[in-house]
Amino acid sequence: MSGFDMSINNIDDHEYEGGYIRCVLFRLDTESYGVNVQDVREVLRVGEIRPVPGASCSVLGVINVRGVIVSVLDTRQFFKLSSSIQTDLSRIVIVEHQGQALGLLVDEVKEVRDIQEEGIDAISAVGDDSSNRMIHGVSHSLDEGVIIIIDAMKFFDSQPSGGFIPSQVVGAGDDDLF
Amino acid sequence: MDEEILQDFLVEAGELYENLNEQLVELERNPNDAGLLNAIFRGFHTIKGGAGFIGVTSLVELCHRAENLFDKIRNGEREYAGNSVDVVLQSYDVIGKMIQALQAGERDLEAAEPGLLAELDAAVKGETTVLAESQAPIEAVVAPIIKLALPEGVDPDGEISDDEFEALLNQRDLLAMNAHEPVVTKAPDSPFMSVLDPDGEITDDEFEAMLASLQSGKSAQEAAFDAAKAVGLIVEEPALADILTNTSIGETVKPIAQEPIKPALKPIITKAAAKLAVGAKSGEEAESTVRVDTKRLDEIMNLVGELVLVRNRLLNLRTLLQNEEVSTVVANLDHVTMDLQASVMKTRMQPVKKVFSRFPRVVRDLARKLGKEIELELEGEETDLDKNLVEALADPLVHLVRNAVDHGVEDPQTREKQGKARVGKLILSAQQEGDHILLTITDDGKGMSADILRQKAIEKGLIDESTAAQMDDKSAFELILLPGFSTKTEISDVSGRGVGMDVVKSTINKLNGSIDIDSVLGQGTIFNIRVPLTLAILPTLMVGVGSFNYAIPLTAVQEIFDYDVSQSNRIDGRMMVRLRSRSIPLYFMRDWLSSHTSHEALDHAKVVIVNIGTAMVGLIVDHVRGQEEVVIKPLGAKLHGVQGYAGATITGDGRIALIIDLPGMLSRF
Repeated sequence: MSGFDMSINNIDDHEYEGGYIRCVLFRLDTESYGVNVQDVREVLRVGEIRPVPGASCSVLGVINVRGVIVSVLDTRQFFKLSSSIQTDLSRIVIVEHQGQALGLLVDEVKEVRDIQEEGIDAISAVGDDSSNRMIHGVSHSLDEGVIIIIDAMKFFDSQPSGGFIPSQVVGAGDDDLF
Repeated sequence: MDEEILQDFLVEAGELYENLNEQLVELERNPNDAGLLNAIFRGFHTIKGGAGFIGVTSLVELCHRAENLFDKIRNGEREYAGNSVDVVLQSYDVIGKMIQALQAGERDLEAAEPGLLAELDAAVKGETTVLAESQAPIEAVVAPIIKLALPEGVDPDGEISDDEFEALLNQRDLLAMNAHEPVVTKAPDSPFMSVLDPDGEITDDEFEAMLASLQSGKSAQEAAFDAAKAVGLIVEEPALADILTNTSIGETVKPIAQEPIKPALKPIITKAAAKLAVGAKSGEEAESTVRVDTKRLDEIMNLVGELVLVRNRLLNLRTLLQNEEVSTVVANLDHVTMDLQASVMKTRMQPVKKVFSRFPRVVRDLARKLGKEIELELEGEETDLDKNLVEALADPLVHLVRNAVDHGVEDPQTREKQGKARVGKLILSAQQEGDHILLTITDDGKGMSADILRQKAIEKGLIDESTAAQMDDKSAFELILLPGFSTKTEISDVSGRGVGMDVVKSTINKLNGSIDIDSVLGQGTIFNIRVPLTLAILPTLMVGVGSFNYAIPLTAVQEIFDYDVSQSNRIDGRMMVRLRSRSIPLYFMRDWLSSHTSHEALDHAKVVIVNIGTAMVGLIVDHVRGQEEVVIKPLGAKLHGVQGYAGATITGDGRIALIIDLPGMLSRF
């Protein structure tokens, strides 16, 4: 797991007057997502992810980040996408919240970009949907197309909407042999 | 006064004081938060205890009253509103000043203002008196300033006449001449007293600071002189010349004499406070030790662990490279890393003596106060344990020892009547017991009656009668650990509020420890506290299941042998293995750990027999890798609730091994 060199484009603080959010852009499946750069501690290449049997299926496992154990989430599940196959482009985005770290497995990390706050539209919420809760809004830019701005902090206390199995059930259900 | 203990107290009191600040603020928002009220109550209680121990009676008096008030408030007898808030915050400030004074090296503190104490008493009783506040000291400080600002005969409202200005100048000369004579500090009936309303811009804090500055050796006159000078009444020569040349003298002086006095005083007083702070700092002694948050030590431990891994990789590379220069450097790194690791480990370990050393004094003072004769015996003082444990154990042990002296041991007359030795005996001991430290506090006092405890618990509504009836004696003794349980009806500043034992239990629980109590009526009581040796390192047996490693706490492991299907039977649907004419249930780790079940390739499997509580079970694993001391790391976010794991660790090759929590794992099977 070596650090990933994020190329910073499109950044010139003095040029803008309105509010901008600096975001790390990543890709899940075919869509672009953005997460506030202030919430991101680092981006790592995917090394060995140690599964934790019995944990919620949205948790892929744990990794060792310089001696600290960090959980890695299957980010796709939070956006109703099927689990992906890891590729050479896959990365783990480490987000931080109140001293706790969490890894988000994404298909590709693209760049860091400033996104105009005014240009972010809230998506129309349909029901109390977990993927909606994750999404802060949607930004429409000319070259990048639609960017889904997510609230990384929500990962700390949310479960994906579908397919969540409480940890105890996994253990008990599968091992009712004795 | 023992300086070391005093310093410890100051650090602790400082922390509690800080916490109280936040808690009191929070309380104003949620005046009915029971947890918060308890926390505040405990805060005052603990400061009081420490202050009592080092003999700062003024602080004890104040904290005791504050504590009383919060006791009433948390019991719903009083409300935290109006006068109570004012008086509590005032007391809080005074407590802060006292702590600061102690830190600055003062040892003989003056008693808190009687008015404030009376105010607290009134609040406890629920009376609403007109808040006298600390009017007296405020007047005392303000008076000289007023005196200077307004020499008699000066009409504050009108234009200042030449005569009046003359008077001001005289005043200045007089001050210069009589620099060492105290100024009359009688408060004049000046209209400015209303301007200098104590509730106005000049806060109590600032006046307290002024007060403190007066106490710290600055004469009232000097302070007042400074103040007046800053206001501009006592003008430096060039400025004076300016004024004299100015035709509209009245206008120059007027703003000084009228409204601006209030804002003008503020910077003076602030300045005085700042000066005092500087003075106080220079008075403090440089300490040779630094208090470090154990979290930081943990971080260092983590990083050292990582460094060791990197070193290991380099050591591997060295053998591959066969380069002499590289070898020398790597060997050097190897040594430094080892030393660093050892040093970091050492920073965490401390002899239990650090806690024990305070008790002879605690016991002696308390025994004298209560008219008892007690001999304290300390055993196993040199036992080493984790630093954060040593620190965390101090409070609960103080509570237990005080309780033993206060409630346990009888007075000499009673003891003689009962045919016991006149002098009571209290034994405080520490010993290592496997991976635990056992601390015992034994007294030969009157013991406890399980029946009385049950009765008391019912009266207090802590348990109902049927529960009490089913309760065995040992559980009944543990009732004293419940919050709000106290058998003493009279409240003293020694113990008897039922707050101490509550703190004891929660503290011990936090340390993954346990406390049990045994008592024989008429013969004495024993408290056994078990805490892990260290909170950081765990000796484990590393086992492999599939391609992953798991660490089983070594203390639970009884024996390991090869799995032999012919030696196992299926009894009542459960696989059991025969071991010396006993059948022990088997658990297949592989089934538990992976969703797919396969019993193939169990030929080389091993059975690890472990103790879980009193039960014995066999765990079937694929490999036994050996014994390894691991650093327990918490599992990442979102995994805290997962049963069966005590945490995770990083093995020598940089991979992660999960640490099994046996009771949790069994409940998941």
